[in-house]
Amino acid sequence: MELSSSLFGKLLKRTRTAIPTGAMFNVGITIILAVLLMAVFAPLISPYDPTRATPDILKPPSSSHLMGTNQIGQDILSRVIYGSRIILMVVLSATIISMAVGIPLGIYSGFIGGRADRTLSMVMDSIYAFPSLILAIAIASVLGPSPLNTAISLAVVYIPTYYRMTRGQTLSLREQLFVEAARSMGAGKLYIMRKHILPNLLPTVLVVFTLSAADAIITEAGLSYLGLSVTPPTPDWGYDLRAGQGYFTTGYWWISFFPGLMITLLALGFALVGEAMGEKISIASK
Amino acid sequence: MPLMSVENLEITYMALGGRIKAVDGISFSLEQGEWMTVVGESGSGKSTLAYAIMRLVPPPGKITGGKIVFDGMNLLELDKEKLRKIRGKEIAMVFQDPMTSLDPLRRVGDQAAELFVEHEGLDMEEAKKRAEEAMRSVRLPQHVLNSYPHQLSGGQRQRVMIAMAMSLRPKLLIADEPTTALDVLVQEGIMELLNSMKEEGTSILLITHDLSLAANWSDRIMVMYAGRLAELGNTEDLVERPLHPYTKGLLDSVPDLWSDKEVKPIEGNPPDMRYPPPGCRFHPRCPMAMEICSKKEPPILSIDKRIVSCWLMAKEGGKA
Amino acid sequence: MGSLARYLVIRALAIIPTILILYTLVFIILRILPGDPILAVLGTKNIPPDQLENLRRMAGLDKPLYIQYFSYLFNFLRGDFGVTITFPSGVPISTYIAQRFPATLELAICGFIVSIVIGLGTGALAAVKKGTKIDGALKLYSILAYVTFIPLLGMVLQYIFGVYLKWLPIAQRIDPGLAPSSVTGLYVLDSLLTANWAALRSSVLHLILPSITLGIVLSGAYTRLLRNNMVEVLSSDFIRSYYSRGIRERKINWYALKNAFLPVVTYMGLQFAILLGGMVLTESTFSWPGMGTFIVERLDYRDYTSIQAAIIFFAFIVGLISLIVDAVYALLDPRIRY
Ligand SMILES: Nc1ncnc2c1ncn2[C@@H]1O[C@H](COP(=O)(O)OP(=O)(O)OP(=O)(O)O)[C@@H](O)[C@H]1O
Ligand SMILES: [Mg+2]
Repeated sequence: MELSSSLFGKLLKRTRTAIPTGAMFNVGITIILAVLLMAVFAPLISPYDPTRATPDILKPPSSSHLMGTNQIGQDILSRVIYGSRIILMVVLSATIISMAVGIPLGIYSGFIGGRADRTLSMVMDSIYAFPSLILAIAIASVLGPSPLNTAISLAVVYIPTYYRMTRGQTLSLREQLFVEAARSMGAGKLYIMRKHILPNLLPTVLVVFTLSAADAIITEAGLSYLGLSVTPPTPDWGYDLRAGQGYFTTGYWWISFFPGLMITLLALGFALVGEAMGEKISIASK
Repeated sequence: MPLMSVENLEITYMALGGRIKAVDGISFSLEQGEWMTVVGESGSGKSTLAYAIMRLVPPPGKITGGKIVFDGMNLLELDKEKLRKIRGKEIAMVFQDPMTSLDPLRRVGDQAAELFVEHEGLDMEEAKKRAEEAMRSVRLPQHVLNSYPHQLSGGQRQRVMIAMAMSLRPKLLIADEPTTALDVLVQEGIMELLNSMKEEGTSILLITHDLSLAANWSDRIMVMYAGRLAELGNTEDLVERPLHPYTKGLLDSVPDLWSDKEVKPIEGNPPDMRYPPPGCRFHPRCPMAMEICSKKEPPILSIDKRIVSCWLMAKEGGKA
Repeated sequence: MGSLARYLVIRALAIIPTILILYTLVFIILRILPGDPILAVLGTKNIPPDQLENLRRMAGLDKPLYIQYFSYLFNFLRGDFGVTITFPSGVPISTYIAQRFPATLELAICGFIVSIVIGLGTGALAAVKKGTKIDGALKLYSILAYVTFIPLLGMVLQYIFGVYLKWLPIAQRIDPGLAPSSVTGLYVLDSLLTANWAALRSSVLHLILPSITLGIVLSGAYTRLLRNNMVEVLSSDFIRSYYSRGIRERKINWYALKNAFLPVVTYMGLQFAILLGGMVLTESTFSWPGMGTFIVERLDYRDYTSIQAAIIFFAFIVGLISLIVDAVYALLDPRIRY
């Protein structure tokens, strides 16, 4: 009990060093929180049923439909609000899987070294070099279109990102004195990895998490834009953008525009937070 | 009229942790054809002084006061284009690290020839010929011109830098620790090159840690401590009869080949320049410190042809 | 010369494992993960057993896995990518790829050029104006460009320049009937080679919007990278040494740019991979008949062999690009060349 609380305290302290202040961070975190709240309270705040088709088709934005309606009369605002649920769930669960696999592998690789490390690095670097959207298409194509499968393919795609970052950090941490000291006191390798390396990784993990989440949002939207994620009538930003694309150039711009804007906005939120945290860390390490 | 006179120069770095006055009220003058050497421990502001004369103080540094009069012009008042025309042609500089002073992506010959294109308006062919001449004057083989910097040794690169610095016959050459990165034999050769320039009328401002180097080659020596002038005088006078305890300390810390006197490094470290000590900046390390030294800044005294800033001398009746 | 050739050979050898790993990875994903890929891809549709057998044979799935692994690789290296198994079934996939890949290549090159031009320009400007409002604005630009969703930007540009201003075409590679006779498959090049000016005009016009879309989105990373490199280079010894010799500032900035550009080249390999991913979305948005739309079309037909071939083809392309990047780097950096 005591051990876990002290470990928690340590994590908290390390996290705080990575939390910056400043406009970039504030704007970013506001966007993220707003979308998060939107997803959680979707049933309360959305004015209409997002899946119900009505005769009110192709209505431009107005006071009754703030973002207009689409070609089958669904309310775009409601679809945009509900659409935040899938993209957040997919991206966050994918990220958790990527971290759960990538971080331990990276620590192991960086700490133990040797042939296993070299092989693993090579495999990870190869995956990293491959276009992530195309890899995700490959995986999603055999698993079939569904949000769960999209999450799985995104998870695979982003494992190398976490692996590479963790491995690099571990390599430099390993050389630092306190690990030497801990080792000389007879600490086991596993203990060192858990107790000394993992907590020190945290600030960087946070930065990589936010930056790769921004990337994953774009990739998720790409997959569902290509029809590899949800099936209608589920509201989803990428899919909805695709569905309205043919109407866009004939003047019904609102069908695609708002979902597309939300994709970019959410990714921007994560990217801003990541940038701000990255800067803070690089200043702190100077 | 001296070639250059520096008056009350003050240079400040606006660093994150506070302001650093790296050069604080330095004055001196330099005659044409004279070799003056600036010595002082690391961090005493020697390079900063040199950059200021080139008007190349790196940010966050700024010249915050004083004057640098060169050939009748105040360098601190010149615009960019005028400065550009002076740099390289009237005042040239050789930097400490020859390994990083050349553009790694361009042939040495192109970098050298560029100088003549920029300052004398020559076309590339003529400029190349001049570059060849310049290399010959520092006894470098011609193939150097076709080489990339990484293909040359450190000594060769420093010769290239000096060749470029010499080639337009500047009135003043500043050399900031030009041989620190090189071995002793190469060092002698470089010093001889500087000396040959001096003989042709160029003034030399050498910066070094190495007091014996200063003693061997220069006409006058200026000792800096923590951004201030400690002592300035003719080489012989200063080496044989140092007035400032810091100069004495520096001399005692140099091994002497001809006598087996004890080598005594100065105790303690130079001050943290963000929080310089009050009064004389040397007093915490000074063996002869008196009460006044920690309270009031010592006056700058002229004694015969020397300048010294120390309370001991003030007591002995020097005039401020 | 000797050292450059040796360097390139070493790099080429180092690429082989990368390609093999990617091939293996795709093989594992496509063949081993889903159990029976044909069933997985065809979904739940009821198919008579004999027809299923037939499809398996066409896809080469009737042999043991390890034989499939090697025979597919060897066939692939010979340019035999297998045949389609759904409508229109039995067509050699290589004919599709021969048609589609030049379209992708042409757009990729143009998008790449746009991204480099924008990225270097903005990056160098930000570095020279370091710490000013311009620097701050360009930083925001680089983040925004990076997170922009390609179809959104594409559609907005289509609407402005295609529908509203009517300046530019918004779909396809060229106006119908104008395609130049094929030499390389790159329309711009082919129309130049055959002196077909109508085709040249049309294909260039068609390239503009998709290239700009792709180029803007990819330029953000270059802006950042170049700015940071250049800030570092500008404070380096040799730049100060240039200044001390009275070289004109414009020239110095140009030399700084060259030095700052080198590390960007190493990054281009990775960036090109991102570009290929972005290609799929760009092609979809602009109905560009390239590899990306090919994959999407065959996904609709659930044509397993085509998707497999296209993706493995991309694996080879990725390997090839990193080799080209290494060669370019070696050509630019005398420290490797000599
Ligand atoms: N970019 C900078 N930012 C902040 N402070 C600086 C900067 N450059 C130099 N300084 C400070 O200015 C003072 C003088 O530095 P300078 O490099 O001129 O000393 P120096 O005598 O040339 O030392 P060395 O013998 O090590 O070359 C030092 O205290 C240094 O910390
Ligand atoms: Mg110095």
